[in-house]
Amino acid sequence: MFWARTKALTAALLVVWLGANLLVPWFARDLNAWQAFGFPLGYWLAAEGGLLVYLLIIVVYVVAMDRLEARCMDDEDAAAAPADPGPA
Amino acid sequence: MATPSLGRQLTWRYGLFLLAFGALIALMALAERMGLQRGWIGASFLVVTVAAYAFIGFLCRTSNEVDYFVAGRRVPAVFNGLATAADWMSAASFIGTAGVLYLQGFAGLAYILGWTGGYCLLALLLAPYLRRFGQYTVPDFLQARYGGRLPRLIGAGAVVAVSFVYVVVQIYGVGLITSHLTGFGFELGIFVGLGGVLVCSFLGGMRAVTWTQVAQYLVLIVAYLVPLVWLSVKQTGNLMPLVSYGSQLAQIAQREGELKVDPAEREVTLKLRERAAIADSKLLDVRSAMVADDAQRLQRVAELRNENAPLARVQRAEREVAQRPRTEAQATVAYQRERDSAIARAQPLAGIAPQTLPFATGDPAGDAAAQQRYDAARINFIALMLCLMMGTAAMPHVLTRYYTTTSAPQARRSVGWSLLFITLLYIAAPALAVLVKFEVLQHLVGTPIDHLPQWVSRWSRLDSNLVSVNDVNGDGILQLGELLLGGDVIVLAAPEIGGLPYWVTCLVAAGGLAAALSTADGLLLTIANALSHDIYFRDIHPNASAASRVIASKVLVMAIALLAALIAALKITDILQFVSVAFSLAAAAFFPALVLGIFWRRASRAGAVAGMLTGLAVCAWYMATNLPLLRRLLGVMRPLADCQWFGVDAIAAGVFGVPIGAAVMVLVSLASKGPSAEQGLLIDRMRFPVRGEH
Repeated sequence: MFWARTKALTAALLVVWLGANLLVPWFARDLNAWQAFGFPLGYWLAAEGGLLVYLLIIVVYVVAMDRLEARCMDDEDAAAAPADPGPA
Repeated sequence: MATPSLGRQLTWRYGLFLLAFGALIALMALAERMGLQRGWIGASFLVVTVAAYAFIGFLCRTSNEVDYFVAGRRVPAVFNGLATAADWMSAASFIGTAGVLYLQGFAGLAYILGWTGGYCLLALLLAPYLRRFGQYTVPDFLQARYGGRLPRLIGAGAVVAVSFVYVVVQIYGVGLITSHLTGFGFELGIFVGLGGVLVCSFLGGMRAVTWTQVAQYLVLIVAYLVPLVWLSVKQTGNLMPLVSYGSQLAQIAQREGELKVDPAEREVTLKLRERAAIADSKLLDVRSAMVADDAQRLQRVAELRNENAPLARVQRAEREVAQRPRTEAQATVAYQRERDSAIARAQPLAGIAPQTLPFATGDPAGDAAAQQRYDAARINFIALMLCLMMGTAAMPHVLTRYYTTTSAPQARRSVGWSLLFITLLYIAAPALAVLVKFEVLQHLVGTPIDHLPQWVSRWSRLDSNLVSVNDVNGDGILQLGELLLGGDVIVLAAPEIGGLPYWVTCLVAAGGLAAALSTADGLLLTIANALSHDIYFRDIHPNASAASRVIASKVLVMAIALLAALIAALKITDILQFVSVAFSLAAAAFFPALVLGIFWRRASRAGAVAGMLTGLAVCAWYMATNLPLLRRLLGVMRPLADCQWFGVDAIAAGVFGVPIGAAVMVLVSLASKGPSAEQGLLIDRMRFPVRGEH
């Protein structure tokens, strides 16, 4: 259960990561038609926005994993036996 | 476990360090006002910072095994983040990135995204798991997870190859900066810098390296941000460059448009094309061209003497005579270079890409060829970015840093801190490039050549490949096409370009030195550990005591540092190409084997070996057939266009090596025996939390 959730979380965050990586450069020239904070949007996303997205991904991961692991330890206490790792 | 008091104590100490550094800066600023000689200011920055690193290294000296290899595993997450940031940001990042952005415009952002986005992969897929596994090195993990010798030996070999290429470049950077800063010769500069590196890594291993790297991060980030903020205040009156440089971008875009249609620029372009044609014709008969050119140079000196021309011009002409090519081979190279640089600068905007327009070489609304170039540029951007990301996540010297945290949850946090500290520099690099470009386009271009600022002649004397000015159309005014500004000077000369005092230049150089030294430290240690721990201890001398392993590593650090310095002293100019090569190789060698080893239970030894070797082979093949330098060395005759896959440049070879390696690893794993029960237990141990981690 713990491992399945970890994998789901990791996969979800990787999808966000990959989406940002592929979409921003691919459509950068079209995005430049808009402005963000006085910058052309496509440029801003690649020069500043992307980096903030990466930071956010890691922050979400740290918080979510802390919770998942704490719950895993609680479940273990409840079962009073080592958790079954289950198949990969 | 890091007690809160350790963290508080460290904060206190590094706070003091920052204050002392601030005092040094203030003192130097004051000394410059009072008229202290420039050489002394440069030397003071150099000597004081290197002495501080050496002092920290000396305080942290150790021979204890856990301290030496993984800094005792008690580095708090924030401080490991700082150390990783310094470890990560090399001389190339510090000196080169803003230069690439200046020259390549939007395309350069692939480096910014690649070198930061890789930390997501590190946090999500690798760092916490490796920390829970424990041990000391990346090959350790390959051995434990897959069993047998082969995965570990391939891993150790790849660690050494990747890190060694990288360390040579760092030491080259150290030599460049020390010689600029002090006027020592390049070779002496290398060895002075090397002393600083060795004191840290030799005496105290990972422990000393970690605590010096924290100090080096503080120095390098201050050195990067001070000129940036200052330039921003000067140009826009705003203390926040990251918010304010949008307005400069708009002005640059406008100026770029003006320069493209400027008649003087067009004249320069035409003249440069003529020059390229002349150089081409000289290449047909090098011998007689040499004779004619020599006669012309001597005649020019005589003319200038007769005219009683200013001494500087006579000396310049005499220097040309003294430096003329002596042999036919030298002359051929010189003519080729002349032709290539003329062609490069005959491009619109002297070959400098527009700052914000993505993929300007092509046009989605243009003809078929322009559309194809546009798509190729987009694909190359994404390929390079992904390749750098996977390489970042798989760089052994960065991976080992996460063994030094106290627990897996702390390793996750630490990656976040690392990324934050790294982002500070990488988010600032495009801003610095833009502010420098604004100065150049707005103020420098259009200046009479006789009234150029002093930095132009100073730098062109140092190295005419970095800065040179040539009044191509003879109108006495500097056009963009007449100015050569190499990417490597953008950061180092930014304070001078922006008209800031000289001590800022020295501060920036000290920052570059910190970046180069910190990375060199981490790399040297990683190589030495791979050789001493993964090969000597495991294969040659398994009964070696912990103490003798530490000694072996220390001796190796010394030997490798000397070897790297000797190679760097050869000044191989094409060496920078190999940095990007290192990323592809690291990605192909480690990324699939590590990630699948953690996330896919079925991954087997045969699969890992086949996958790593295939990935490396694919990268090597792609580079051999696509990198200009290797093509020449190996005599590859097939046209470049036929060697490319999907039009991707050789620099992003890892983008093929990783998926092909991973696919081979999956297929061979499925066809071979799965991991043993013991390896299965290791997988569980990495995946599941243990009590007391939080």
